Amino acid sequence: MIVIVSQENDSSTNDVMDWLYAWNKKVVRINETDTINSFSLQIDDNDLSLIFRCGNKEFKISDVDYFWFRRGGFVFDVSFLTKIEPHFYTYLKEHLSDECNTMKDFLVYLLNKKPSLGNYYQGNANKLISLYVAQKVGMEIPNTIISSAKEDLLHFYKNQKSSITKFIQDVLCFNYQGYRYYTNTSLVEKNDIKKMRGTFFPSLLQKEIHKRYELRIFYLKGKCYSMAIFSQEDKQTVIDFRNYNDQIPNRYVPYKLPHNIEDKIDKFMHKMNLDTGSIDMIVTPDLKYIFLEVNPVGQYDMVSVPCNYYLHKKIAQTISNNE
Amino acid sequence: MSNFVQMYACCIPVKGYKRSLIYDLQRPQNSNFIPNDMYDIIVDFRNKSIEEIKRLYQYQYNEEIDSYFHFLLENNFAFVLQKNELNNFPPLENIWESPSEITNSIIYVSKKNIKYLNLLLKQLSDLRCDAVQFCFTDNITIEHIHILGKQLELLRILSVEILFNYNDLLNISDMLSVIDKYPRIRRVGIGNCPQEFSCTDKRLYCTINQIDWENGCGNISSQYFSIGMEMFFESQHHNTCLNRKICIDMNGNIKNCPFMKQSFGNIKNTTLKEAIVKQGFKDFWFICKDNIEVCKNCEFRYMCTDCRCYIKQPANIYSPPSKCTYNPYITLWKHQKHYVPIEECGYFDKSFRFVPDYEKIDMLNKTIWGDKE
Ligand code: SF4
Ligand code: SF4
Repeated sequence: MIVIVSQENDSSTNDVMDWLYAWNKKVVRINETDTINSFSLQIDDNDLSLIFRCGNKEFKISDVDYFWFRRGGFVFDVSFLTKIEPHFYTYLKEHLSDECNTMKDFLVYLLNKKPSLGNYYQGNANKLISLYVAQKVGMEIPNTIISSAKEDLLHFYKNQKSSITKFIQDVLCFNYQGYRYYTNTSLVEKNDIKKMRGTFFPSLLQKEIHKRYELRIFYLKGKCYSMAIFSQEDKQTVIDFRNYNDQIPNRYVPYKLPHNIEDKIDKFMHKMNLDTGSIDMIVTPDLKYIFLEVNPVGQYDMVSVPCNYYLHKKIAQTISNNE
Repeated sequence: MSNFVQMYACCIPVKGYKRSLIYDLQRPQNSNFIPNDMYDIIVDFRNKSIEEIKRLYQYQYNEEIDSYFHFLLENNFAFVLQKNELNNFPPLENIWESPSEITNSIIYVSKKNIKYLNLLLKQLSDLRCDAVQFCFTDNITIEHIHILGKQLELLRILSVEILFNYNDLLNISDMLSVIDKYPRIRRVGIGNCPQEFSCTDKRLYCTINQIDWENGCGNISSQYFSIGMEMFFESQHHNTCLNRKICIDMNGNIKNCPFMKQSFGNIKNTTLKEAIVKQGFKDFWFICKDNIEVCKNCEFRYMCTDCRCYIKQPANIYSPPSKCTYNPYITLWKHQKHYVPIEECGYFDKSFRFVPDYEKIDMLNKTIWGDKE
């Protein structure tokens, strides 16, 4: 039996499951919205038995052949708590969720002993660690500074000439009074920094990288499936044919990375403890490969479909050992 | 200067007898015709610099070559690349696969077999069928559609089209609320309506013409052409109408095409799954345009839906669709001036194969298009 942890609205999980059904595989898919309402674990001198149930979905740990962590996670049901007095509620809730975490960790621990794909604890890889590791395995990264001191940023700016600023880990995004607020990657002018107070919340500046095209790479157990994205900003300079349309939409085409870059990506993923994920890179006009980030649970449809890679099938083959 | 220009992998030139067509699989409406000379340059000299191509033509056609590459770049079919990038841009792999045993279906529903509808839906869903077209040949009521819409929510079927002829039991505003309520009912088409009507997203369209259940199928027209990844690659391995299709005709017979004679059982006593594995059910699935007489010379062959039921020479299953009104040898449609049918551009031999008469075609093209030698 194959156990999949995912989210209800993740259509790429559906597409992988279609293949599993086509091959008559037994599959249990647990979505984040499926709250766990029954759990039975017995350990004694001879044996361990664990039965997991949520709604009508059920599996015995001994029956599991493969574990695919796609995204989301296990959520235990503590909703019965609402009936109690508020003061008790706070303490009990915290206590019970700690108890649940222990069970959940054990469950994941056991599942990870099975052949598996995806890292349950690395759904959102730390962007700073990623940059650091990428640099350690020999990839080029954009020069980056995070500082709470104006002087540091000014100094950095002076050396890099052109810089951008963006979130350190995640995009912030919310609606308020009919408006949508979100953080953006944007160009920084020297004046922007000058206007700031002497110290502030640690802020990130990064050297602006000029791109020839972007790469989106889906990594699956040692293999790279890459796609180049030609965006509108890409103004060709090395050519005679200058006057072509500015309003061109992006082009998404299959891309074959040079072996040395694939090797570095492989090393990087191993060090990050990831066996799958989506990597963003930039190729500069002088053909340097610059690593930007990895998203362990990124969408791979946007690579699979335009490149005719059939990644859903490849994932299905991986998790059903049907290669 | 040594410029290299390469086609984007999603812009694929396809050669026809007289002209070629670049299929833009990412932006279909950007697709465009090109001369066959341009096709040859694109395909034969893929990794050569413009300079080198000019040299290979002994600098006889510099202007033409420049203008070809201008055209490709201006239309965003191609991009300029550096010499050491030449191996970074592989073509799209020419494969088509599907996890579904059946991807599409046409179901005729009459008074007689409406009682099997739920059973059929369940069976289609189990085969992971994506799209179903229901043709209700007898009067239907709004309740029928509600039952169908509700049922769909529990099934794997993603998209449904419903066709029927207008009757007094229905009104258009009810239909509008139905398509609102059930997103999987993608399209409702009603024939024989008191007036023409169609809503902006085309999910509901009403025509005054009666839907012809007997002869309406198998038409070939540019309005049915479809340019896209799925179609492009499926059409190179499979039949674009009949691959992974299962149909139920008006009498409940299970068939690949509802208008062909060959039946593989009746829904009364055969399941769809049983029918599919019967000998011969999949015979037409693997007849692709590249094998079909005339079509194999047509630049539209990877966007055109094939028909294997109505064909010119029934004795040859590779014969072109009889309802096609295009002649690829002179690139004209029937409604266009100077059109002549393919029969005037060649003949069918004893084994019903089409033999083009090249001299005659040349002559025709000279008169119609002013082609030179
Ligand atoms: S083969 Fe022809 S008649 Fe049969 S379903 Fe296809 S288009 Fe219609
Ligand atoms: S010849 Fe007619 S039927 Fe054949 S591919 Fe061309 S348009 Fe389609």
